[in-house]
Amino acid sequence: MNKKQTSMFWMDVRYALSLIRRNKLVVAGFVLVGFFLFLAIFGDFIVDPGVAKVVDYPNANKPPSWQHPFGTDDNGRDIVTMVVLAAKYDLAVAFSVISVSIVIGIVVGSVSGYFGGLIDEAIMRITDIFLAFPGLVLAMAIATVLGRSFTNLMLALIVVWWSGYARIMRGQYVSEREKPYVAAAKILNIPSWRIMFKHILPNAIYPMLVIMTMDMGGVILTAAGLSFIGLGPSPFEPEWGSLASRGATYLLQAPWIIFFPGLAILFASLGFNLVGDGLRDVLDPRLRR
Amino acid sequence: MNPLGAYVTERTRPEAIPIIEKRLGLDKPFFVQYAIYLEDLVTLNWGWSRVAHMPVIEALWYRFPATAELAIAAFLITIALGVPLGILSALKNNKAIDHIIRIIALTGISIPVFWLALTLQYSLSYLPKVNGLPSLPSSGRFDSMLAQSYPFTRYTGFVIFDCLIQGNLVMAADTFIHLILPSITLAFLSVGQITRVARSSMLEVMRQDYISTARAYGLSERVVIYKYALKNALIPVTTVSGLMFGGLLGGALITETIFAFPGMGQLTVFAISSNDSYTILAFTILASFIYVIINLVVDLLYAKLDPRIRY
Repeated sequence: MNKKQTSMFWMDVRYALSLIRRNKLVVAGFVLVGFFLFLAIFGDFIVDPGVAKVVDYPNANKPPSWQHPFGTDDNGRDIVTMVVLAAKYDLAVAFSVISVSIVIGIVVGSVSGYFGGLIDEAIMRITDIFLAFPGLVLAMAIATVLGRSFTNLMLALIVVWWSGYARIMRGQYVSEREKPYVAAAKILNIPSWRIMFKHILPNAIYPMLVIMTMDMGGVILTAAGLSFIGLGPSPFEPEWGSLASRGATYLLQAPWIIFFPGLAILFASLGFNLVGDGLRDVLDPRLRR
Repeated sequence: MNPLGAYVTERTRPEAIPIIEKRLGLDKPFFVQYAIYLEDLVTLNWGWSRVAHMPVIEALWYRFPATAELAIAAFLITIALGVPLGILSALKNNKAIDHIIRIIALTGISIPVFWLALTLQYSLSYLPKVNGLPSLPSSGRFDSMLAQSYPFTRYTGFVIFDCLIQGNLVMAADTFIHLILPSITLAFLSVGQITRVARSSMLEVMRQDYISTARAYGLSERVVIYKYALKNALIPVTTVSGLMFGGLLGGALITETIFAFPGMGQLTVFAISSNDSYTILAFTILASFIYVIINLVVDLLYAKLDPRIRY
């Protein structure tokens, strides 16, 4: 970028920031996301990570008190600590599922959309197979076959998630490849992969940003749902969904076990959704007034 | 994964394995197996459901009305709440009420369904019951003890409908109150989606030239909104609500499981946990089929709603 372009870029950024700041909902979303990111990064220093492995039955299922503000779970572990520790795992699942899915989506969608023809047909029919399954059922089936663990939960979600991205990316490439700048690049004999990833990608990726942000919330929800029905990690790895699932067993004696992890899932997912919703307002020029 | 795995345990005698293999047709070549599968698929010979102890097709047929009743209830709540909220939110764009509605809608799509279901069960069913207050039932489709005193015959499987035509008001009311909590749970999630679609589509329509024209003619704001804007704004809402209804009819796995609601979703969760592949496969096919059919209906409805579209 030359100097003029750089200053234009910063003007755009500043304008976008001012739009974001004017929208209270987005600010709330950023605060929520920032809060959970903070917990994910510094959680191990704020609370004692050893608590996850504690088994202390005399203190099990204790109601909220000054010592345990959210109460204790059926192993006698402090729920505040567990919820804080779980932030790291849940956000890691969300980030890795979305980033791996988008990379697969970009590669598959760009090849399919840019080259078209027979390649496109073949790739899209394979994508259709993945899209045809109800997402939850497919994820459940994969997680059941692979067994309980974090990695398998992520794998199951990636298998479900990438196909949607591939579809959207293909659509983007199909509409971009007819534009004059692509024709110009072709005349200059620039290799296809360079046109695909260096020229088209920056233009095609924009609408994905909003979808990806909101999908972060979606992945957190789906992962929690899967581990709630027992397809998540082992009980000694803190995860919001599996914490809540243990709470379901003790719903009547100790409702706080499910209440607080569930609240964490709700707010984390809400944060990403608020940010995504606001990003769309900022990125959509028609809404700028 | 070897499909035999579901039929063999440690106690299975080794000499029985080839017999099981032969009965299931697993000794035939792969392509022959596939041809048999396709034939069975078309002739509705969908296999034996081990969790329901009956043929899969009968089990799904028996449970479909329960799922449909729940889906219809949730759908009605969604439309009755979601569309007005979305329209209101668009008309009051960027005012306080708009922000409140947007937060409600986003909460709807961010809330974990199992958490909502259990919280509702605890706060509206368990707590009032313990404190001696009137409470809502938290599980099942109707009270089976009550059904013994007020028996009814099952004609269509839609219990409310069956009871009403037999004049059994007690059971109809009981089934209705059993629907309240699960349908609120389902509706809360879909209200979020519908509200967002209704809002953005109404905003889009209100920006169109013909709205400015109508205003320039001096038409009152009421006429502009209800006679010009609303009809056009509802077209995308119809698509989304149609697809949503298809999704709801496909069974709500988690909600049905938590509320012990005897629908297709609950059966599928049982089937998944006991590795009953016939039932899982049949459910997946049926859910996809319903979804495709609803999609087609919505497409045809389009032409009725928007005369510019011709087939």
